[in-house]
Amino acid sequence: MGHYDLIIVGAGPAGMAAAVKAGACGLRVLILDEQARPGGQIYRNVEILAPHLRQALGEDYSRGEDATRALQNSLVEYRPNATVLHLDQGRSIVWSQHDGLHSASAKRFILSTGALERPFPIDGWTLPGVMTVGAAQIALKSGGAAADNAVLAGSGPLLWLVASQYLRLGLKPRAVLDTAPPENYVQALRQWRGAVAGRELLLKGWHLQREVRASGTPVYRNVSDLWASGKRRLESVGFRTHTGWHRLDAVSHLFLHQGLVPNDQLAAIAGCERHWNSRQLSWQVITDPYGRTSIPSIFVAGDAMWIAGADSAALTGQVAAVCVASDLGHLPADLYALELERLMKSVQEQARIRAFLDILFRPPRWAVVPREEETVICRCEDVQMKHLDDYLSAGGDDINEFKSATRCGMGPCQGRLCAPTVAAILADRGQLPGGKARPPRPRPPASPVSLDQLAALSGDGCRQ
Amino acid sequence: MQAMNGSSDVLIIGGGIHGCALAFHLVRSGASVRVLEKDYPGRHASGVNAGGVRTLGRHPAELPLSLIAKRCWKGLADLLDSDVGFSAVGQLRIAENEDELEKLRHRRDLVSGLGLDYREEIIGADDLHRMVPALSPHCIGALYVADDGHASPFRATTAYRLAAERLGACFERGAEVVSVTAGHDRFHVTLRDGRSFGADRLVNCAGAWGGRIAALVGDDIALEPNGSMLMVTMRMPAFLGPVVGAAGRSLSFKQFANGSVLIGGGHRAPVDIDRNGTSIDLMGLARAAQNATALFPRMKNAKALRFWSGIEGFTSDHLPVIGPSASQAGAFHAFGFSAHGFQLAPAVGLVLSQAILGATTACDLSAFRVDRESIRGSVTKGA
Amino acid sequence: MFQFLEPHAPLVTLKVDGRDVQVPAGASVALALLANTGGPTRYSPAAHGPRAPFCLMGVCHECTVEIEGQGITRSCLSTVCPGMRISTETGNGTL
Repeated sequence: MGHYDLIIVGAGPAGMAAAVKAGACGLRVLILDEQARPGGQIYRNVEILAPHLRQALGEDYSRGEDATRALQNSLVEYRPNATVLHLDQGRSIVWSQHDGLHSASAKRFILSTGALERPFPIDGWTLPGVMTVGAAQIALKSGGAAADNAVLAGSGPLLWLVASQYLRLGLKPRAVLDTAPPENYVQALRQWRGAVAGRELLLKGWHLQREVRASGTPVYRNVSDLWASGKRRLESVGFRTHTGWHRLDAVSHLFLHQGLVPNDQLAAIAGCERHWNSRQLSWQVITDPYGRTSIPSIFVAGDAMWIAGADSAALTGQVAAVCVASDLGHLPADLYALELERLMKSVQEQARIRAFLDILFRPPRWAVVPREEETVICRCEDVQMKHLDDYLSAGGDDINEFKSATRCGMGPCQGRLCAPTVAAILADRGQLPGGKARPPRPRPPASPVSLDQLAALSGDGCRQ
Repeated sequence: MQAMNGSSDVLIIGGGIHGCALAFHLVRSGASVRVLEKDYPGRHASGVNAGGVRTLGRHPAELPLSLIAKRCWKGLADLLDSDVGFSAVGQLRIAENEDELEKLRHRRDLVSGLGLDYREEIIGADDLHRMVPALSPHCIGALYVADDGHASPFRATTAYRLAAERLGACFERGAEVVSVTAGHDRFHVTLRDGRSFGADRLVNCAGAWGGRIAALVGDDIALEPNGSMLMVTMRMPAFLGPVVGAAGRSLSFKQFANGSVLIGGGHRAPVDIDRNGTSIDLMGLARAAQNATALFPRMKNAKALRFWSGIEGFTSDHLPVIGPSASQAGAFHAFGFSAHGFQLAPAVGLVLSQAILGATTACDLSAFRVDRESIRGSVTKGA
Repeated sequence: MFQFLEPHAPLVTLKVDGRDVQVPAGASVALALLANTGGPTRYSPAAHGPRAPFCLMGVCHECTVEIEGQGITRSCLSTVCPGMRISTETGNGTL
């Protein structure tokens, strides 16, 4: 078994920044990533993407190449195509590669596993043709593929970014449906300091929206309800605005987005405690200000810690790396204090902006608590809103008991797509009060593992 | 007398399947019953075990009770008016070589000689491979019980609870017992949250925590909490009917109606009963995977989706503790099932309810007595 | 259906349910399906609802298909190879 000072999971902005920083502090570092190339989702394939696609994706995307280059040029050990299965009590880690299972131990771990999209459970969202806005962007980045005549619906920066990326590639969306409720703007004004601090970001966002509107793409605001329908696949989309109901037929793709939630499944499997963040409407790993979790040898960084974007991720990755370096005696106390102060100042500024954005793009209640009884909340096992309603009406209040009773969360995604919805519904019913909230308990493996790979562990043991 | 939050004829500590089954039988016989469950009913071993329903391979001392349970399982869904997921698909214990087959023949003979209306039969290679075409050709025979099978642990536990509730039993959740006082034919139980309840009879169905509860009534039993690991795979096309174990390997192997395969075998992993904490030992699971692929080659490409373990309580002789307390009149026990208590629950509920109400019991429970030498603990291990 | 935007990328030929399909090298199998199949690529096991790739990042498992040599697996995490044979679900909910 290999031994390292630090093992990092996830080579997105946080992981890459952490690896480079830790390497520079003289630590022996291993960084594992599931994909074939570094960059995470946001900088996916930045190393090899065709020039005209790069251009359409914009400068924020291209900048990612600085980070990937820094990683490739560093002395850290970088392993792509590595799917982490288990992190055992913050001491050893097991992952799968094509040639079998591998394991290693480390004194510290940084889990920079990024984010996934908050589920947007509407009637008909399981139909072929309904996907996430993130998926539309991944299709561009990982295959140069796009869907013409698509409807984009939801709220948040990614919605407008992808709409404008599509336009730059000559694809005009059928419509953009903005679900941000008007009261969000009013409430966001209270966080005006955050708005001022983030004025650059806000200006960018405003430009994107203007670009979309200027293209002649129909944009509908204050969308207060949304459904998708079709027989074997998506055919029509219905939505309500202040002028009433609208319907679009012959729609081939609907891309949904309403923000991100941390992809903290591995941290939860490793035993890190979580709590409910009612502002971001997601479970969140409990950490000290620097990302150290309830398990002292494990840190989280980047969006896996809290949703704050790529720039913040690069900062919090460095913060974690600096703490680890100090923990392990590779950074003298005065230097550690200086670095930490510098980094945390920037982190806090990013956090102020984020507080503003969280309120501006907070999903409306209807998009998080399904109105229709038949709406699917667990896609894997077809558990519907009515099953949760029945459970709650009978006095139930425990996500894990609900899972045992209905199989909600027992399917292949192991609760990643339903846990945020179930928790948001419980929170909505006032059943997730501060300290008594009981998060779901995912178990290893973090990704399905074939039995022959698992069996080989007992034969000649784990490879390095 | 202290103020109390409730009073009943019987107080049951522990809302697993034994507590729920007992509650059902007691309330059905007219007693008033309250169950105190520290988490939610079915939260622990009862809700997450492998669901095996078998008499095959049981310790002879358990067989009379287990045979009563076998009859109960057949009619349980009707009795509880609820699906418990029971299918009598049969259970097999596979022999991979002549030595193992000989051991199975010994077992068959042992069982025949017990004077019970029950047999475990030997089947040869031809019949075995006809019954289980997916089995590796190197397997030469098996021990077989046709009317064994499997059921759904959480559903069965819930079915008992709901049936008991319909008849008036009361279930408290989040109700952790911290002290028991006895006197004047009454028990007074206090919870961690300060509530207290009273009853004429007290029953310890606290599973892996049963040793602690036993100590509260003065019975000193060595109980070792431990975890029994399981893994479930992604769904596969149907290929297996009976539940499969192996004479020479730690393996329990079954395929559900929805196509997923459940693999166990009793591989242990440490638990923390103060925090409801379980752990996973990958080497143990690797051995389970190796056993599964050795017997069923197609499992090589099967994908394990989830590993877990329940929290079980093991006695030193691996037999349960069932019956009256040796120290405190009016107190009873049903715990220490050592990772094989699921199938017994319907019978334990029935027979123990008889004992508590002073009726004749359907079978003799002396093999499970609290004060037997083999389970005594002066220092309770791990609990 | 999705369309590929790079006109000059080298193409790879693979079989989807026995049908020949051409896709730019480096694309994921899920994209190959999205660009060549309008309808479902599997059915949900519990309610047999039509499904197709949803998140494209390995989280949702909706893109699960059978790839010869790799077994039943998430197509969004697999890159296309020449001669690859892919089977999508035909309806009995085992994917």
